[in-house]
Amino acid sequence: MQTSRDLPILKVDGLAISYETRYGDVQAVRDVSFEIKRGEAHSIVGESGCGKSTVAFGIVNFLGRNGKIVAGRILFQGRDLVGRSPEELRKLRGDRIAMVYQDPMQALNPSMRLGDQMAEVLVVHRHMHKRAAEDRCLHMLERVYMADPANVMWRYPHQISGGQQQRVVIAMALLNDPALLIMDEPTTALDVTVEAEVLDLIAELQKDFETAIMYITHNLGVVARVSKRVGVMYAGEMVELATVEEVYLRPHHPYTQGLMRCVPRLGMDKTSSLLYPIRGRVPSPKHLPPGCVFEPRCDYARPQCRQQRPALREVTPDHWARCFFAEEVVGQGQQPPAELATHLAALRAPERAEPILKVQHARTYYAAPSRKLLGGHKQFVKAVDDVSLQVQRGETFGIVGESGCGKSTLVKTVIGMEKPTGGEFEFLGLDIAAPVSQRDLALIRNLQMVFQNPDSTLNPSFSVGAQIARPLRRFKVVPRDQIRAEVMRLLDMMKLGEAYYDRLPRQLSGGEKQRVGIARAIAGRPQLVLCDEPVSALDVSVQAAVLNLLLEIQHRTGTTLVFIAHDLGIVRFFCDQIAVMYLGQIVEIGPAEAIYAPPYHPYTEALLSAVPIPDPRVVQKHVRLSGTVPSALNPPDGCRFHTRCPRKLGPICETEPPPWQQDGPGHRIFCHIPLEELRQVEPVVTMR
Amino acid sequence: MVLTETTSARNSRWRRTWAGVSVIFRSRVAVVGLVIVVFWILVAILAPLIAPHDPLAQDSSAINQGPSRLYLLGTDHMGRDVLSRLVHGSRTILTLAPLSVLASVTAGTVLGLVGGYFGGWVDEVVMRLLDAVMAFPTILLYLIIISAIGPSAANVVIAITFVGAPGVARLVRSLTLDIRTRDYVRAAETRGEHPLHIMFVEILPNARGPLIIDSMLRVGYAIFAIGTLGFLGLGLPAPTPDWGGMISSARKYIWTNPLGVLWPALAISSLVVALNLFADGLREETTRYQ
Repeated sequence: MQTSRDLPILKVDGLAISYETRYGDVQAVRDVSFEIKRGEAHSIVGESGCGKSTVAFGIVNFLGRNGKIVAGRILFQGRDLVGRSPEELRKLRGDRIAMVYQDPMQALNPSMRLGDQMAEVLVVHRHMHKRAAEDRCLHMLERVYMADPANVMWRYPHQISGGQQQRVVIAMALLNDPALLIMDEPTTALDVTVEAEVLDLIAELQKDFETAIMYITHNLGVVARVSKRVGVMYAGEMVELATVEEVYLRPHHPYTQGLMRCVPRLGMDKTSSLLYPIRGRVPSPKHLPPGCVFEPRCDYARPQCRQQRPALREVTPDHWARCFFAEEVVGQGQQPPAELATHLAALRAPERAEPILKVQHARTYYAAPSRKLLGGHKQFVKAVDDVSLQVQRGETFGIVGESGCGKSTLVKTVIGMEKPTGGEFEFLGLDIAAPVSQRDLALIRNLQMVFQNPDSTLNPSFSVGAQIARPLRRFKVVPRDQIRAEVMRLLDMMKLGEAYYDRLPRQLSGGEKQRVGIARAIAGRPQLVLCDEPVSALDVSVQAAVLNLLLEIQHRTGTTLVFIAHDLGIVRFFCDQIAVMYLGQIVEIGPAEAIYAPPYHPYTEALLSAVPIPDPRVVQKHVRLSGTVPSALNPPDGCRFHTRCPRKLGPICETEPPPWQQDGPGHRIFCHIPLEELRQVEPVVTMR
Repeated sequence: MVLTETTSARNSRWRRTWAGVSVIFRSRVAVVGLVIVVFWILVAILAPLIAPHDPLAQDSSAINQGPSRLYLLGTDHMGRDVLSRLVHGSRTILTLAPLSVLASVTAGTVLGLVGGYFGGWVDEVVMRLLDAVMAFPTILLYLIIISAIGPSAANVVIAITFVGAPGVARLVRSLTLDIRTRDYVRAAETRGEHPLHIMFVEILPNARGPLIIDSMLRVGYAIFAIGTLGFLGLGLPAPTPDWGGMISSARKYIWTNPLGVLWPALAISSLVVALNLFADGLREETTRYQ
């Protein structure tokens, strides 16, 4: 006999959801089952388009006009939600299900004070008295560990940081004491250090409240941090369901295994953190394979997989997988094939020769409009302030930092899209302080760029072939009559095939667009390619493929890469040299291995501690930054990090700019704390 | 081998164009508009074959008459056949309106691209000049221009171009401001492309959707404007069949021959409404996927 305490809050059973489209019904979700118990956090993880958000929308009956539940049951506290009228649903559910979305700025009304917005929930839904409602809101803000809650109640959304906004949204969701809290990628739009704060909060909530949490994300690292159980979704189906430990350490489904191999892990040393991408692409829900949905991309596929659709079955106690050969798959382990490992290792042999790019005391300021109508002296946003670095030929140089740290501005200045305010820029021994329009064509040709956003990197009006041909034509790389052949060669190098020549960008997936973007950048055979977060908008499995491709290209062409990222995991796997930036300055620079081991700059330490690592065995030190990033308009005196530094020494940090301390060849730390002391710090990431 | 390659390329290009055009047929509104527009275009092309009489021939025995078997839509105050004048009048209006729109769109596009892409003081100067033009009431501007340079077909085109260009420029500028932030424009800049290449090859093709729809609407306005100018006596010189002029002269005899005003008015409004329907339907259908 089950008591009501053991009864799951949410039980989804054989759920199928389809959308009506112009081309007939499309099944976005098929046969999804899972349950969440009281006080439990359950993650649903999957790549974009796998149907994880659709499941959530199905639960809150928010599918839109063309979506409908075609099969299955959704039991919320024991009562079925499927097939009821909206009115009945509202009564059944009451306000017992709350949802938190990705972008906090869209969930909050920008023209209302936060206190009023929060109180409104209680005044309208619970017919509470205004004063009582406000008291309760204040109390709730305290419970989500908001600093200075009384003050926050009086502020408008834009006056608090992104992390605090998400905190308010979560507090708002908890006001009605929901039995189930659905969180749809609540930290995806946030910076790593802010994300870490919000994830800490979610972990606390599980202790403090009895709420069941359904956590939807694409980030395997986040899953490992917030939840005990996880369901992996692929192409609308739940392919694996178990505890986090089980799924991460003993994945039984080939897709899960593939995912685990795709993610760069901080915990590993560099040479073993090879990425082994999943081949092919996610099938469109309109044309699903007849058998197993993963069969076309699976390394273990057999004839049976092509004909029959496997069911989700319990392979070991409480570990469910949707694969005929799960027992065999788990035995194969997670190691990529040996030849790939040696192949990729061979690619990574930097031929340290001469510096190709030399930047000294670079400064890029933007003039900020004066607040006063007349007079008042001009203020400057110091986006890049006194940055010096050297990039060696043939290496990969990584620049990491959170949004607003100036990494993009630095790259834009190097390529000539922003005018430097001061400093020396030298590329191939030539001065490149001039804007791109005044540069020599040969110089331009040798310095190209790959952009971040796959949706805007290609001109939607021209075919893939035409866009790759343009730089060939402009830089006269090959004679006119060989342009087409050269484009084909580049497409082949990108593993895209000649069929892509006539395609328009809208016919390509994100990863394919990014490959074309890379092909366009390397078409002129440049010596240095600047990559501005080229994979941050891509799904993990695609990410790995694009990164490996970049490595391969670098090996074949000898191109030097400057690689901007906010993901420390990727940078570690990918780069030889790394610079960590904070508020327009480099705080630590050195060889990749040196950055990830003590001595750390306190900011690097905090960043490393914040990165969610997709490995339950890894233990991370808990370092959190207080406060928000100061404005670059008026950066703090002395060390810029002193306002948030957990290791602040004292007044010296506020007044004196720190010295550059040398630790080993090429490793420099911009900090007042003596090196000996920094060396004493234990490593952030350790294996259990 | 080379031959098949080029034909396949041409084939795919043709198919792509067709896919773009076929959007029109998904919208009923657009099809209705298109049918009426095509009707008028056919009338204009076949005018000499359709018109039962010479549009300038006067019949002194039939002045200001209503519809009859000889004159299907009646005659005007000089005894000229209204139907023939209407049919021939479509020729002038369907030449002048698209021409003037083409001119104003060309001028407006160049100004808008330059202002939007370069920004800064260039943008400031261009936009303030255009604001100055837009500050005048449209009719007043027409009157000033035509009375300054005299009424003629060419001058009507010039006037409409002058009045229409600022609106186009504003549209193109706002599109440019949006498009120039895209990464492919930055990619072109990092290739050191000439600003002209960036403006006309990278930016303009991606502004074409809204621009085409705006142009359709503008053809309607231009027909309206030509009618108005004709009505005010500032359109084409006297004997030329001109819809606006026809209304103007028939207006004086509205009590003896009320239908004389109706026919040209109907012609103008049907054409303007049809163009609006077409443009609206097209806009709805093209924005549905975004």
